[in-house]
Amino acid sequence: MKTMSALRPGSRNSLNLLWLALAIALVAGAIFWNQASSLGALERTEQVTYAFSNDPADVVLFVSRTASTPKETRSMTIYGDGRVELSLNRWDPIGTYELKLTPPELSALIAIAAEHRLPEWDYESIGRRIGVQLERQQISEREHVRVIIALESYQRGTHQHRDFVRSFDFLQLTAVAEAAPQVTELIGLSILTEELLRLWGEAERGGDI
Amino acid sequence: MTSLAPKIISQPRIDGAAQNVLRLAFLSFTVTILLFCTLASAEEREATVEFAFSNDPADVVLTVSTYADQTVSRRRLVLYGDGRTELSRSKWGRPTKTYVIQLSRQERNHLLHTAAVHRLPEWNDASILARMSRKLGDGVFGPPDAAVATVELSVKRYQRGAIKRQNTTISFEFKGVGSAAELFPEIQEIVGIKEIIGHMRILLRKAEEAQQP
Repeated sequence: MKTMSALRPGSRNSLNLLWLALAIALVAGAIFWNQASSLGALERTEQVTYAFSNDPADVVLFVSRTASTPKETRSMTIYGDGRVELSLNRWDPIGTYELKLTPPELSALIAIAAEHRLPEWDYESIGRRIGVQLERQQISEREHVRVIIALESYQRGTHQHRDFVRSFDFLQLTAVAEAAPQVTELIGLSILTEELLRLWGEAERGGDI
Repeated sequence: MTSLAPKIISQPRIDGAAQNVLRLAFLSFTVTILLFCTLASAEEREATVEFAFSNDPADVVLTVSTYADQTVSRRRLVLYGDGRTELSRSKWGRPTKTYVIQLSRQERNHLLHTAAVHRLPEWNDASILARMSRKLGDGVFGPPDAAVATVELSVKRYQRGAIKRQNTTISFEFKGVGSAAELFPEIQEIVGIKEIIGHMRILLRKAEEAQQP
């Protein structure tokens, strides 16, 4: 008569492996849970709050894009009351359109800049994040984007600024943003330049000036 | 039946001398009208800016200073509400010479008028940068050795259209006023600073000349 023997050495190994897998799963779960909690905390502290002037004399946002062929600069200057001046410059200033944004449209435009962290613009940090991808990029066009942003206050985590003007330039935005799509600031810049061109398109179609 | 054709009425004959008098009268009339229109439009332009500054002798209404790094030279003007003005100058790091003069009401008003009509109470760094950038495209303005001008202006009341300032002090600094005023003559604020600095230089020169034996 055969008695049931204790687990064979092979089965014991399997059980040990099972326990080990369970332990690893528990530890991994705990780590994941912990990370998820701290990520949540990080996201909470990274909420962006900002305020901008409503004064009709104050420029709150300026975006210009200079293209090489043909060499021309299109820009939008946005004032605190929502007035927008669109300007086209080839050799000399050759055209200006003026339009007015509604308060929600103005807020939405400023939100693009603020929530993509443009007030924190830091070439070194962006350069690090763009990193290797830039070297692989075939740059085919010379494109120059300039942004000026003026806010009364801006806060995201430890980044706090009051009554400040930040201006910066960026070359070959389209090419670099395609190569490094994870960089928040470049996403913001791309959306702003799209807005600039969209407003220009609308103004030219309207042809009221 | 009535005719719709115009009736020809006999015209009086005008001799040569009378014609000349008429021509002269017509010319004078035209010039007067043109002059009136020009003055009216100039008045209208200025009328769009309303402003008031303190007359109190204790209140500083305008402070302007320039500092040139290369020559270590500094000029400064402090204008009080009653027209009293402190002027000072130092060059190559030598001791500062200070003069106190009294501006006439007309001179005081002229300085403040220059500041107001050139919209200095509206000064906004981002606006100046934006207007310069519109013209520069991808270029950069920044003469490295230029002097830095610092302005502080206290207005009781200022209004241009929807833009209003009340009992406020505006202060700012700008580098390279001279070359910027040439490059961007359409930026009123920069032209205004240049004019005020020009006034300050003239006043300083006069004060220095008055002190010389």
